[in-house]
Amino acid sequence: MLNLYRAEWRKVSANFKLTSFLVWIIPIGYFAFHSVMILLSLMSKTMQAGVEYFGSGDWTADSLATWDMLIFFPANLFGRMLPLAFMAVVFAGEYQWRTLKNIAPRTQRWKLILAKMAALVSLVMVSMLLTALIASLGPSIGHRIHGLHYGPVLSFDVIGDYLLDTLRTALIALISLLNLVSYGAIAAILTRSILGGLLVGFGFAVLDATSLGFLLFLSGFLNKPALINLYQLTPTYNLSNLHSWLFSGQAQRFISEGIAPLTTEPTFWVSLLVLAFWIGGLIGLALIIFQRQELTE
Amino acid sequence: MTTPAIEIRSLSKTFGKGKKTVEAVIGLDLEVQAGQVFGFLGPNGAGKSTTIRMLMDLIRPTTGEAFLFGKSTGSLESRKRVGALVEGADFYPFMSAWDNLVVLDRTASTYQPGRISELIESVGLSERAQQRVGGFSTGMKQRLGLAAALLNDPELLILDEPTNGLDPGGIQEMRGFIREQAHTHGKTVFLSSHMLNEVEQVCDRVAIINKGLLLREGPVETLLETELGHMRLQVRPLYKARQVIVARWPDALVPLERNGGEWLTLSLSLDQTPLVVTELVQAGIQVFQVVQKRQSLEEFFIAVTNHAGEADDA
Repeated sequence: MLNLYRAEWRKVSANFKLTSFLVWIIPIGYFAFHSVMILLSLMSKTMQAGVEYFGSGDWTADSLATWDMLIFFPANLFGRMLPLAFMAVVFAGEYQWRTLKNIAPRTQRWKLILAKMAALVSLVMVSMLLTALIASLGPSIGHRIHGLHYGPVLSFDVIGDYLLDTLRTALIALISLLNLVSYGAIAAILTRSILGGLLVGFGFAVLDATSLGFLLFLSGFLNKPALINLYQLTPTYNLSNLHSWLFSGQAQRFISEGIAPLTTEPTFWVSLLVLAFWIGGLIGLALIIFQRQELTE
Repeated sequence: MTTPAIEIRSLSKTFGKGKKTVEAVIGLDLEVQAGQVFGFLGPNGAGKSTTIRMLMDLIRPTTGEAFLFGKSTGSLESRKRVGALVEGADFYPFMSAWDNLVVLDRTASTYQPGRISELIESVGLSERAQQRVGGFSTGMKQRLGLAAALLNDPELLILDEPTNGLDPGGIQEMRGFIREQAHTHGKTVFLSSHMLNEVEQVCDRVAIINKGLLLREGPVETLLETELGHMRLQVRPLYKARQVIVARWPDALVPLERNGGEWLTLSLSLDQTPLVVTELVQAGIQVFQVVQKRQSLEEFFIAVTNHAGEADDA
C-alpha cells in the first residue's frame, strides 16, 4: 500500500500546473498578500501607521483562522472549492489520459482509490500547514519590523497550546478534506470527465454548505420549524460542532437562534459518529462504483 | 498437460440495452498454449479489443469466463503474470518516461529502478528518459508502452495493435521484438493486429474474429494450406480459356480486374493444377506458364471475413 501511495503522490506532485493553480495558490496567495502589506508599510507612512491593524493581534489566532476555510460556513463555501476542484480533476484525469487501463490491472481497485485519496488529502494538508505558518509569520514580521509587539510572547506554554490547537483544528480540517475527496471521487468516477467531475463535485459541496439556507426556506415554506434540525445531519454542521466542543466545550449554537432554535445539541462523539457515517459511506460508495465500473477508456 | 496461458470459454459481451444493444463478443472459445505466438485478427469493431479488455479485467463478461494460467482474470495473481499494451500507449503527459514507469512499477507494489533502466535502454529511449511523455511521438510512446508491458517480466504479453502509428522501420523493429520475446525469452505472445503481413511472419496460430464471432482458428500454415490457393496461367487465346474455365469451374475465376494480358488467375485447390492444364490443352488452348501461389494471410482473412459478411446478408 505504501508503494501505491508513493506512486499516487508522485503523480499528483508532478502535475505542476494543476497543483500550482489549485493547491499551492493558497500559501502563495497568503505569502504574496503579506509580503505586499509589509512592503507597503515600509514604503508608505500611511501604511506604516495602519500596520497595527494588520492581523488579529494574536499570531496563534491568525494561524488557526486559516483552517476556517475548510470548516466553517460561509468561509467553507469558497474555501472548499479549490481542494474539491483539485481532487475531481485528479480523479477524472485518469479517464481523460486513458491511463486506467495501465494501472487498474496492476493492483486491486479499492487500493488504488484509497491511495489516491490519501495522496490528495496529504498534499492539501501540507499546503494548509504552510499557509497557517505564513499566516502566523506575516503579521508578526510586519509588526516587528516597525518595533511593535504582536501576539503572545513565545514560551513553552504558548507554543505547546498553539501546537495542540493546531493539531485539533487540523484533524477537523482533515475530516473535512476526507469529505471533499469522497465528493470529488464520486463525481469524477460517475462522469468520467474533468468538467463533469468539477460540476457535480461543486454541486455536492454547495448543497452541503447551503443546506442551512435550504432548510430554513423549507421549514418556513411548510411551516414546520422542526425541519431546521435536519441541518444537524450535515457534514458542515458537524464539522463546526466538533470545533465548538474542542474549543468552547459546548455544542455549536445555531447561527440565528431567533429564527428557530435547535431542539438537540449533539455531543462531540455524536458529531464524530455522524461524520464517520458520511465519510465512510461516501468513500465506500466511491469504492463500490469504481469496483463495478467498466473501464472502456 | 500444461495449463494454457489463456483459456476462454463461451465468452460473450453485450453493451447497452434494448434497441441499443451491441453484441461485441459472442460465445468465444479459445485457447492459447504457453510459449505460442498467437495472432488475434479481425476488422475494426470485430471484438478484439473488447476481448482483450475482458482478459485484463477492465470490463466484465456478460456470460462465459476467461482464465490466465488457469486462474480467473479477476485474480490479481494471474494478472501479475501478464504484461499488456491495450489500445495504444497512453501515459501521464506531464511526467517523464522514467517517472511514468516508476509510477506503474510502484502501482504493482514493486520498485525496480534497475529493471526500469534496462527496459528504457532496450526500447531505445535512454536519451529521452527524462523528457516529458507529452512531447513524445506515437512511435516513442509505443516503445515506452512495450517497456511498461515488460516491467514485471511477464510470462504472457498481450499486445493490442502494437504497430499502430509506427513507420516501416518501427514495424520491423516490433516484429523483431515479438520474435525475441517469444523465441529467446520464451514468453507467450497474444497479438492483435491489422498488419496481417507481420502476423503471418511471427505467429504460430491465428484466430479470426468478425462481428463478435470466431470464424477460423488454427496454425497459420495449416489454415493457408487447406484453404484455396491461387494459380496463375499464361494462356492463349485468353477468351477461349476463360470460357473453358467458367464452364468447368464457374466460381474459380478471380474477378476480371486481377486478369490482364494473357494471364488468368484461378482460385482453386492447388492439387487441381494438372486437371486444369489438361482441360485447357484438350480445348486447344496454349498454356505457356503455370504459377502456383499460396494464399497470403491477408487474402485468406479478406476471403473469410467477406464470406461471413455475405452469409449475414443472405
